[in-house]
Amino acid sequence: MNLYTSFMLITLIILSLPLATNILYVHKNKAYASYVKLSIAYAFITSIIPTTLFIFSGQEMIISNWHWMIMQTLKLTLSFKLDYFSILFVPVALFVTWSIMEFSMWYMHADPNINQFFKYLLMFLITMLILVTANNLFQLFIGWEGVGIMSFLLIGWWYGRTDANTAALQAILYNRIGDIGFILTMAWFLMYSNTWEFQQLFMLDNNLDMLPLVGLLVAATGKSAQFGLHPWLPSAMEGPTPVSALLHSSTMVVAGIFLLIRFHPLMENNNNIQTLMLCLGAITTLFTAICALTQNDIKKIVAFSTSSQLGLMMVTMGINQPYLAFLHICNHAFFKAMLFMCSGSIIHSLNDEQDIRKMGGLFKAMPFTSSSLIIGSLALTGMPFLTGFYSKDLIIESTSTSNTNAWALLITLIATSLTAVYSTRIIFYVLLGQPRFISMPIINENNPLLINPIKRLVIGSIFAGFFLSFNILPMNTPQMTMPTYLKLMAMAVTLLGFVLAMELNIMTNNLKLKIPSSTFKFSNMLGFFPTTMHRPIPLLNLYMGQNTASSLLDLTWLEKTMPKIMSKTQMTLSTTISNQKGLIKLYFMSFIASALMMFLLIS
Amino acid sequence: MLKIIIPTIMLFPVIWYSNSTMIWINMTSCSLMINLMTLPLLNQAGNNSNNFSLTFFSDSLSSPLLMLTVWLLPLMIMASQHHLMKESPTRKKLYLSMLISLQMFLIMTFSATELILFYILFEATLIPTLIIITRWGNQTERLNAGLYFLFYTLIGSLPLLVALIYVQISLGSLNYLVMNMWFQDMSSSWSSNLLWLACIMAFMVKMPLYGLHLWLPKAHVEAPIAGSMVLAAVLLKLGGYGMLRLTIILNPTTKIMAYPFIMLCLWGMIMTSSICLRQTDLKSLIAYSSVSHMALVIVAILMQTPWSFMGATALMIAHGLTSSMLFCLANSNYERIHSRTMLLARGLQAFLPLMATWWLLASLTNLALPPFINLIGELFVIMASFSWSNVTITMTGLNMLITALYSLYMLTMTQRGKFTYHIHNIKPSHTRENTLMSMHMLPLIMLTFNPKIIMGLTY
Amino acid sequence: MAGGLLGLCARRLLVAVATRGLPAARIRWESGSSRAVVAPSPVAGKRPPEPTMRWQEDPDTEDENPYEKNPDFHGYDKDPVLDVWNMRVVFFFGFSIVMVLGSTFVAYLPDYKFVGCPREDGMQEWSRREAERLVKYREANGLPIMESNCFDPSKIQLPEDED
Repeated sequence: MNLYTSFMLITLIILSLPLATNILYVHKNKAYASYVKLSIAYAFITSIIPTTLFIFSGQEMIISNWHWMIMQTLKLTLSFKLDYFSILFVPVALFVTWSIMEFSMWYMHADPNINQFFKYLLMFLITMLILVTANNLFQLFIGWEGVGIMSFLLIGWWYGRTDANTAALQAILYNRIGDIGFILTMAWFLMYSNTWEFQQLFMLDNNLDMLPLVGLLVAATGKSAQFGLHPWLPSAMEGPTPVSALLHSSTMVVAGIFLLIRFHPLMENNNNIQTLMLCLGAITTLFTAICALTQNDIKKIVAFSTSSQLGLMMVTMGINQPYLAFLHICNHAFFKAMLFMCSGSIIHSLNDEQDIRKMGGLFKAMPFTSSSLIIGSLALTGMPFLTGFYSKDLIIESTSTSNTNAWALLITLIATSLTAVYSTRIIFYVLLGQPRFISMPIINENNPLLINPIKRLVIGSIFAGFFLSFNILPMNTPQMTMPTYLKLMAMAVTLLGFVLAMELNIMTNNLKLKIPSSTFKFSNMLGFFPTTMHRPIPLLNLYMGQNTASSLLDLTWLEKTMPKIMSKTQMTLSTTISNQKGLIKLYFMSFIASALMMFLLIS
Repeated sequence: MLKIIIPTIMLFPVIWYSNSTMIWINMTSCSLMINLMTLPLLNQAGNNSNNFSLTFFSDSLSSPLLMLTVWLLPLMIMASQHHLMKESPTRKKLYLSMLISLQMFLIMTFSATELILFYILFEATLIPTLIIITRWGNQTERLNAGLYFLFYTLIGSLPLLVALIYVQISLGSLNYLVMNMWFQDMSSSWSSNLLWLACIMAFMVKMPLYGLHLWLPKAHVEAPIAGSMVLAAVLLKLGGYGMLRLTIILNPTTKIMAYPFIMLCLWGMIMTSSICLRQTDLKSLIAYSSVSHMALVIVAILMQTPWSFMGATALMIAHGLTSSMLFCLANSNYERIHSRTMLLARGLQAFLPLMATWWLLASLTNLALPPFINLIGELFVIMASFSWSNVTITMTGLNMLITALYSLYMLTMTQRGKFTYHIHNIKPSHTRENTLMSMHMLPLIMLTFNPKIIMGLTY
Repeated sequence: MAGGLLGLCARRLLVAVATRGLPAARIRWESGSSRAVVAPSPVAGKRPPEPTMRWQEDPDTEDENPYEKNPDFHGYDKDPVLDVWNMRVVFFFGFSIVMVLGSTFVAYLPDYKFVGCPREDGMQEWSRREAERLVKYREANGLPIMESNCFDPSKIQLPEDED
């Protein structure tokens, strides 16, 4: 019992120690990066203890310690919720981040501000943990916004590049749109439930109005890059690769889905919101999978695959299976982080070349990275008995056996198949065939800082799903019976994808170039989303700002109607009624005339 | 109250009799010491306000504002040290006297019990501000700005005088404390609508309400750094303070009369925020962002709910510190680049990393990052307006979005990107500037830990 | 969306600088004194609305390097002694006294609450602390944490029933 809370707090304290040492040792020291890495590793180890306890005893608890303020009827305290979700998520996030930290020691070793980079990464992780463990909406909002701001800083890490700054601002823009939904939900709960504490919210009313739930969905859409608010996610690839790895695996993008999982007690009885989630998720997963098909930037493909997986998680939320969605978050973290690290390794080795058309044949040059990449891709596609299988297969099964929207179901299946297609494409272009990079750069992947983290994550990508699904109690009844063809459905579509993609890839090598078809253009131009949505709306807004708000209203109408008109009327009035016209001669004449007159009269 | 006012007055002899080399040292130390005297104001033991005399009192609404005023004097002095380096000692002393007299008037305004006294002092604050703007501003436009500033606020507040005289005749007293106990509902006639307008307009102009805000960007841009700081931090809050005080006698007319103003504010909030997105001038951007934040305060005050009052008070204090800090940052850029154009000051992060940190923190507080008090203020206002009408969330939410965008746009423009080539020989950030920024930032952080002292009357 | 936005802003600014203000701007940057002369626009009839903020530049741009005389310049004064002392004064009074004492004072303020009239929910933190103390005491002594009786019934002295 005491072990539970104390070790959880110890984990959080260990994590924040590297930030505190900053105050004591202000000078740069070389060892800082490894110090951060080590503290995360220790935090991981200490966080294992409560997790083990949880697995064996199933205890959930709430730590409520610092009392912040009481406003009228609302009490705000610092409290941590250690339940199923947070207690399982924390070690996963720490494990993945530990590897990413080690990886970035290798990747960023030449950066002059490497210490700052590690601090940012650490703060990113801490804000995510705040989000996960929060027990009230306000604390969750702290983590929520903190994650957003840290992603702004990290995506814009190379601040000399315009693209990086733009991408950072874009991330904030989309997240902020989501925040509107979050604020809406907060306001609604305050108004109708008069509390922000989770357990009170869940106890009060389970048949809510749609409004707060839609607010939550908007928030999740922004954060988890669902369709409509998705473009920031591929743009976020402007950041350094470790950032992308962290952003896409265990922090930030899963926060939105996590929020929905947190609030599932309020959603489980509401069919409308579930349908909304299902459709949104299905559209997202298909759309982003299509976009991933024709991308040539290796990081972009992986990014779109994240987006597609997030859509799949949303679909899972839509069929009322939050525990499955959560399992998929955890499993996804392992192989997605590893995929990013592999691509980072490749990019670094090829002198910052990201275009997969200029790679090829790396199977011989980088055997370890290649095999990890293949394992990661297979896990992503849901190859049986790799990590992805344990959640993805279940998701497809429960989707296909549930009596929901058949179109959404079909779309999801197609997207699953496409996952295999783009994974094959990466493998085919990057690893197989002849080398297409310009000259042979010195390719060396034998650095323990690179090998070790990938190795750990490879083990994670193979076994984590098994361990997680083996140890975690299933919270709701899994689908027990189904026809054989449904059971094999997920496998079948994936295999179909593999075969098709392989054939197509081989074919395209031998075919001559022709003018791209409109389907290709649709996919390659990201569904024309940036052109149709990115350009006109900001243009309109900015024009409104300049023309309407500034030039028309502020500088013309308001200026003319009040001050200018006032001064004009005063001026006209005063000139009209004033006798003084400056006619000196006339005045003197009249003076002389009157003087003469007086003189004449007197005389 | 005299504990604060008399030391403030005694600052005049301190500067005029002090050695010309010792002006700054004497002033900063003495004005900082006055801060200590304002702290006991927070200890509001009774269930009533601290009534010091028949003339002065303070309660949980005015004491945070008083503290802000007093805290800002040393900061203004420190901020203008570079600006005044080349002036002669007499002019320095004159400048400082203006700042001191401004503080003196402000203290008395915030603590006056009589509305007429409040009115007189409210008007009196115009004089030193006007002198600061028109004498020490940098460009010839300062005269125009001063004119706008003076006439907008004067024209707005003259009806208030008439209204106050009328209230004095009809109620027999203009004492807040008495009026609190003893107000009657206004009759629902046209004349009471006019009375309402007369009472509120003065403060609307001061806040400023969208449409009556033209003086503000001009005055902020043209004023020297101390002028911009005090304008953004305290003088705008006079409007909010006055509205919070006067609305108690304006029931129930406020309920009807508030509608157009709330609409105008919600609209104006978005308009001014969009103007911010297109600003090229750093100071003007900050000024417009003040207008949009203050619109939120006006909305909150007109809603007349306990939550909105809390939000308004918290937002006023938070915005006071934040916008003042932003002006300081803009000034430190200006002292190096010699231009307020943002495009000319790109990529400063590479030269001045610590300053970039301050920029980051200031932008984050400006966009209301949780858990800063800015967020508490904004959140409460948004919630109050949401419960007033659900539709307002579209406006307030949109404003939140645009606020974040222009704050980060400002940050990105000035700190990120490639630096321009005409930047050479940039001075590193001085201790003075870093101290100044931390003296803005630390109170914000500390208030975040203990926000209840700035929650105002309804907390 | 944000990309377009930023790019647009930048481009517009550049265009504005390039088309409109170029000759004037160059003059302004080059010499300090010629800035006072602003030629009126030759096209008097169709003038765009007067820009509110015409100049955005510092009138006196001459920079001197204070670090030549005083490498430890803190930004306060040209005289090194005054400079250091001014910094010390600010730090002592600002931070050591006002910040430290002030925050301590505020942190230990009693939490009276009031809204014009006495209310039930004042002193909330105090009552919370007392309640926590009581709970700890009861747990330590094995007493039930909550009782149906708010006061010990045996200690209540009821007035004697006198008929």
